[in-house]
Amino acid sequence: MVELAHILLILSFAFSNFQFVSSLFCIRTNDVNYLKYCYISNSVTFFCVSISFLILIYSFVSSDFSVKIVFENSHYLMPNIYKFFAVWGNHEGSMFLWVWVLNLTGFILWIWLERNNSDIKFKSYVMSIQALIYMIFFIYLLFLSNPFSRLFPVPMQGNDLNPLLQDIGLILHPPILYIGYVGVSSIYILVIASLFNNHIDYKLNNLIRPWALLSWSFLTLGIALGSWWAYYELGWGGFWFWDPVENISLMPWLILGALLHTILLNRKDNKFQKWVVILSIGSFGFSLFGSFLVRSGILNSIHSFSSDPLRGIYLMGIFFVLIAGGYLLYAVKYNYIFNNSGEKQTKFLDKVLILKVLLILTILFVVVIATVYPIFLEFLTGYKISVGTGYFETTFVPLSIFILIIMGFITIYNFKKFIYYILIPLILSTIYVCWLLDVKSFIVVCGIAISLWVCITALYNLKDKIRKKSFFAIGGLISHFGAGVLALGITGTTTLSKDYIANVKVGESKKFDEVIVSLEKLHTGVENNYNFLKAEVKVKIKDKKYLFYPEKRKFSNRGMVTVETAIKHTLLYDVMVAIGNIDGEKIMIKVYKKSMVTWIWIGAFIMFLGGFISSLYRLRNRKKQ
Amino acid sequence: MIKLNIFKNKKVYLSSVLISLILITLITIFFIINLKEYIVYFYNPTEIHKKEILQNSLESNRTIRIGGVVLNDSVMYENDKVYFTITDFSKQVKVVYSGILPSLFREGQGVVATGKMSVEKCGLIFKANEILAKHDEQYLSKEEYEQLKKNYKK
Repeated sequence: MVELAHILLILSFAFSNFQFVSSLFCIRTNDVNYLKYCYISNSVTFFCVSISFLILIYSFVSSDFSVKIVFENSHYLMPNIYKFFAVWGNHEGSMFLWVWVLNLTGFILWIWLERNNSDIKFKSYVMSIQALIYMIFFIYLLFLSNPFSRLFPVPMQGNDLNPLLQDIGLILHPPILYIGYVGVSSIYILVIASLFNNHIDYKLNNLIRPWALLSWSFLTLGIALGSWWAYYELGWGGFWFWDPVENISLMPWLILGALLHTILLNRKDNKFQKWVVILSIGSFGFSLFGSFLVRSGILNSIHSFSSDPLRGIYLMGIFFVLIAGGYLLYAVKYNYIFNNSGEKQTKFLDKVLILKVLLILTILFVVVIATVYPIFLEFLTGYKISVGTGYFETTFVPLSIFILIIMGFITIYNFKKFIYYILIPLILSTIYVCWLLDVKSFIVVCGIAISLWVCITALYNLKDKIRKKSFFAIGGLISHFGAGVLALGITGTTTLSKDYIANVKVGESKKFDEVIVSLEKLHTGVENNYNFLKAEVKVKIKDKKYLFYPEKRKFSNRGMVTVETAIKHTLLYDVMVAIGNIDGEKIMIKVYKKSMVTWIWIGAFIMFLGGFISSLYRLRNRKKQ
Repeated sequence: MIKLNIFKNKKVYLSSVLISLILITLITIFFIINLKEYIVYFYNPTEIHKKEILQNSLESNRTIRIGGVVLNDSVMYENDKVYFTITDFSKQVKVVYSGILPSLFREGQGVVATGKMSVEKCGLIFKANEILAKHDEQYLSKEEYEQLKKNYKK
């Protein structure tokens, strides 16, 4: 079975070669038949890779420990569902997933192009560049990170999967993030193909827009899932650690955001076509750069992945060839990019958009410096450093606040309307939210007001667009609304979270300003291999009562003590309760209240929805545009 | 952004390119200077025991990060605080922390602690204000791996 999968993988590499060659023929002869060969070989490649991937999954599920990565990452007794998803819990498997997603998007890309585009030459260029990227990644997979390496003699038992990875986060986070990362390759392919084709005009915008939306929305979801995963697994209470790996995922996300807004700028006259090309190539660059940095192990991060210098060098090589090549091509074909000379006056809203793009790019710059500088420093001086959160708080945060403010700028020339539809709702909702959350500090009120400002202006615009039946703009506005919700969540979490420590006996309770903590019961018991102390803690926040059962466990074999935290999620706050030190009869109960955390994930999900809807809508309606 | 027809002659064009280049460098320098203020040095236990690094981090009272593996049988809970030892299998650092530990925190697990070095009665200790569990695909330390192997053989 596994050998079959390996052969299929090699076969798909061969077929992508075939695709490349036949697309070259097609470029020379302009013969549709060659293009058909391309399509056939592309489909076969996709089919082979899918079967091969399924076989790998099967070998995980059936615990075939003769396969090296199964041995290293699986175990007989692991729950079946995690056996299945352990496929992408390791480097080789995750790269295989990457390649599979690449093939999937490539497959969809050609079907979509065939239905919407009649330029044979352009399509054959697309096929050839696509085949080139396929080949590069197949070589990587087959020679540098082969998922089908065998072990002999066959071990009896596997090494098990990291318990951290045995989680719903593993199931969802990598595939979704990869769709985002890999979807960017379609943008790159389309742009480079049009450059080769010596013709770039406004049509390119419509061509790459759905793909940019698709990868942006999936990146949003993927990053949010990662953050959510970290929130409850890696370090309590934090949803973002400014860790290099997290920042890296932000880079393509940011540049895609800039790209989307630039495309929007181009909707009437094509002033910014060159920007679109530059940003498109750059977005794929950051996607590759990110995978290179993460995989090469040169980052100093809390997320350590296995590292192999050869893999790093290869990915670095890919990065340089594809991106430098892309920009070189851009320089060579500069004259074929049809910018409008921009005679028309730039409107106020467009100026705001330009400012927004520039701000997003500045933020990107901030993140890039913070990621690259430590690498250079370590390379030059040998010092390992990481950039503290203070840096981002002084650069990233103010810039984002600025972006949030200008996000709300909309076209209301009517002063009365502005008062009725924006200002009054804004003031009322701010007061309501502040009352709900018991906000006392002025800065927090400002933060909440800015977030709500984004939400309300987006909603107002949404209403306007629905009334005018211009559905194309809806997705973007939904995403803006989501960004407002996200900002609200972040403001709440970072400023309003509190923790309380109560030293109480059984039956006693302690009152803090708005929280009453009481220890109701206490019982001890014995489980399989540990003794536990379980407390029943009642926490009263305002009028609501919650019961918690935190535990303290003492393992018999090594005497190790672990603390099991009890958690409750509500819409307004997450509450965690843990047992602290025990001093005679008095027991220390720690209560942590994290405000508004849920809204971060809700906001991110709304952002994803907006982008995704818009992307699907545009993928289906390209002809009508 | 700027109306493109202001670039009527080469001089204006060149000078605008020059100005934007200078602006970009200035911004970069500004960001890097800002960044230098918030740099957090990362050491492993062996490095932190080197004289000049230790001296430096004690005197400057800077926030640093220490990474390593939690030593087996070293976790102790006492008075709302947790004490444990981070090791890189040659040197060790004692760490104290008061807060919720990540749910993955356990002995033999790789962690990164952020905080400050200080000298207390009991000797050198690292006061952490943040503990992050390392996120790793091969989570087992070598010791544990050997232990597991033995168990399977039984």
